[in-house]
Amino acid sequence: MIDGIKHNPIPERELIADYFDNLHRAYSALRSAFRLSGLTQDLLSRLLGNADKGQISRWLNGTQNLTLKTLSRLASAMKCALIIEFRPFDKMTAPKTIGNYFPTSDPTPQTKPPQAETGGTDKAKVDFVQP
Amino acid sequence: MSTALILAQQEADPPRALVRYQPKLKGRQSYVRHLSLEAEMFDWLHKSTHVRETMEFKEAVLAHFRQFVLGETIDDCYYMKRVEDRRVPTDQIFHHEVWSIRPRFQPQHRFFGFFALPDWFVVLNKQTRRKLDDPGEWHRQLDKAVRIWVALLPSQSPHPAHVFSDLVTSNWEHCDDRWYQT
Repeated sequence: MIDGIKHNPIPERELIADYFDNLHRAYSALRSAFRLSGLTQDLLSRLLGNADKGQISRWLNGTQNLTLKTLSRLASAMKCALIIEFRPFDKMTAPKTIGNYFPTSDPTPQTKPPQAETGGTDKAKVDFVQP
Repeated sequence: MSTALILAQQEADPPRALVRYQPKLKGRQSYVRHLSLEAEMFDWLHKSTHVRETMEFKEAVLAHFRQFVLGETIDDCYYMKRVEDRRVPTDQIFHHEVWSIRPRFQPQHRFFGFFALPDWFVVLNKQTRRKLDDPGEWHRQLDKAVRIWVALLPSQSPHPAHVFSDLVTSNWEHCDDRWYQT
């Protein structure tokens, strides 16, 4: 027991749900890094020794599982460091609060659209960071 | 009556036509965007199953939806895409404002719907990606989405967009050059 909480097994469905949440964050971080890198899929393929273009497309589309080795090679090609972070659930925060369509006495302000081509920040657990 | 109130009514009045997807929050997460699902689809996604493949598929779809609801990065070429109507002149192909949400796990499905308001998406119908390869199937699903929308919100139009931030107001990325040039 830690902090007085009994360690019951985590339900399988919850483990699967967390797996897909983490997978989505990884793919989302990869796509953001790819867009920021300014590379094309052709160039990425060439940088990785003429890697199969279909496979690169599947990695970016999220239809093929990524290994840590693949992630590292993609990071190198994009001139990024791959940083993996285990963030406690109680440190998970949302970037903005919800647009308030039903005003109460304490209305939440409606978020404003950003001016740049990308808005806000990525909360991905796997980050590609320019060294 | 406002679009928001009509949607809330559709979610509240039995038999409910729509159900808001509000996943269990972890830590300091909060609901950042609204996602309403057609009621039968919501029930189907949440129906328990002991078949592992089905459970994984449904959880993959719900994880995709959670990205939207919990405010993670949404783009307009991988996460979701505008649906083209190829039966009309090229300058009108997006006139109906139908979008498809694109979970990337097998068997791939596309979930069709509309932005009712900024940061509020309504999912109305779905089809497997394989079936969408049948002749005319994209248009059939597009028309179906429009029909359901009109039945639910006869006097309201979907929220129009000139740029993606008209629809997803924070943490968005634009990457689909088919509908506007940056």
